[in-house]
Amino acid sequence: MPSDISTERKIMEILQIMRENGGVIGSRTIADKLNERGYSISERGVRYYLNLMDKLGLTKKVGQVGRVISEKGLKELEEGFVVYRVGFIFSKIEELIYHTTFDTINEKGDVIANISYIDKDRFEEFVELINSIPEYEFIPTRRVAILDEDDVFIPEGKMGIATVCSMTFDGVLVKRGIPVNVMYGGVLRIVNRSPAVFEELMGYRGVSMDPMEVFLARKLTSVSSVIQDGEGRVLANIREVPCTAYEEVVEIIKSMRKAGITGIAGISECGEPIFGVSTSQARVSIVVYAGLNLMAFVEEAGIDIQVFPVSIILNISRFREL
Amino acid sequence: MEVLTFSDAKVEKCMYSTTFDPDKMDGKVIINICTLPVEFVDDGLRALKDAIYYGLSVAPYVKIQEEGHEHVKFLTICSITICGVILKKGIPVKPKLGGVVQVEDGVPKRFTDIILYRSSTIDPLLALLSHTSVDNVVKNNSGKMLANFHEVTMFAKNSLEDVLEELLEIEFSGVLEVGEANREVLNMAVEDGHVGFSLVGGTNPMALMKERGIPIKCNAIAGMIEFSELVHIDDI
Repeated sequence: MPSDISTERKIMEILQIMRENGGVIGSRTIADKLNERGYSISERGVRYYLNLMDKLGLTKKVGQVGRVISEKGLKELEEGFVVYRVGFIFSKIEELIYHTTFDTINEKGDVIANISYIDKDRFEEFVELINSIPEYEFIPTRRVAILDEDDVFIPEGKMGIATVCSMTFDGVLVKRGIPVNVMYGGVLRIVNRSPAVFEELMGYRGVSMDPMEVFLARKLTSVSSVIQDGEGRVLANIREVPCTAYEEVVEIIKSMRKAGITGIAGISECGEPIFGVSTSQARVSIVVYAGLNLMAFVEEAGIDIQVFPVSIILNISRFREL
Repeated sequence: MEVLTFSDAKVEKCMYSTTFDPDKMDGKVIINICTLPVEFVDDGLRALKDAIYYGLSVAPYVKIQEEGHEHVKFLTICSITICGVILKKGIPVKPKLGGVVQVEDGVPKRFTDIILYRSSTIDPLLALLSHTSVDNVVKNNSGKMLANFHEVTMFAKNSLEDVLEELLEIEFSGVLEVGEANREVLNMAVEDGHVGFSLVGGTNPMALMKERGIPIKCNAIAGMIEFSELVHIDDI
């Protein structure tokens, strides 16, 4: 990779645009999208970078003017640009929060979703498994969406499954004019079927990968034992809002519950700690169970899953019980 | 209820407690502990030696002790010990992050994933244990290893190098790279007016054991021990 920072940054942005776009894209579209992101660059400028990227093997030419991202390009997005990716997790969350349009009254609109990939031949087992889960607050919804090639890239032999991401709640809060600070992802211990204390936390602002991905890879959950005995560890995240918004937040939680989206573990008092985690001054902390607890349960049962938390925007109508 | 603390607090507490003097070769060092079933001791020792001889450890000093009848504990030096020694020489050192470093043909190239100490309650190098390919580094000179990254004021660069040199003389060789003032190290940017340096993660031998299928339990920055209790790996 070139060592020049600004070149590296532009290459990363172009690769991201190509990944999000999926399929063939032209330099004109890339230039427009780069300008949207605050890079003033001409179509000709984009072609310069694309030629460089072809040489580095990150992109491939298709036809006269089109380009597609290569395997190496996709891999580079996962591994390279680590300094930017620390901010990227957070920017991605903000972008998706901004695009959330879910309307709790009419139960319509777009929500934020996590993507999981499982082997096609284990799908039946998967359906059986998730249908065996009784209604539990820490599994916000059993509804999932089956993804196709129009939504995301789906690897050979795999199925893409979306779960409603808990950040949808933040999207709804922001659309009601409440300023939200997404703080941490964590592992929350459940005792006697009630949330007790956070055992691990990771700040969304200081990591290059999603905290939930790390917790799942470290196998820190025990969702199945929570279902069986009411004791164990689940995933949850924490956000802060101004204390003055407390009552409106409670209202919103009620309306979301009516619309079938549950999963609030608790709200702190103003400036007070909750489940062993401190809260900033003049703020309340809201703890929400992660939509990925469903997938953690599936993984604990021995079905391999590849998880991409906080990934895409999907219409709520796509989600259903299997 | 006790409030959960982040890794930076734990790291600084241990640095403060470090009393190891490289000149006298005594004092307290910080250790990582990994526990394995007794029937895996030979495999575990092989992995430990492979990692140490390749240079994927902080220093070649270890302690092996029985833990009941069924388990054995490996105690190895944690890389934060080096930060502790630097601090005790009067250099203000800021531990910043732990991460995964890509190695190509034996050369460390860049960080591919990172976790800041102040953002995580799990030690970053434990959190990333399943993201390595240390065995590939050992066998083919290319792969992914664990490393951490710290900063000192750029005016302390010469003193920093003197301390690292002194440590090198007693085989504390776990330094990946020392940067120039305001220049990135392994693709990692430094704060203005600082020099960054990267150390080999003390948990690399554990990552290697894990990759080789040895069922281990690990605890990083697990406590302090007198250096005199450790033995050279050649003597095991």
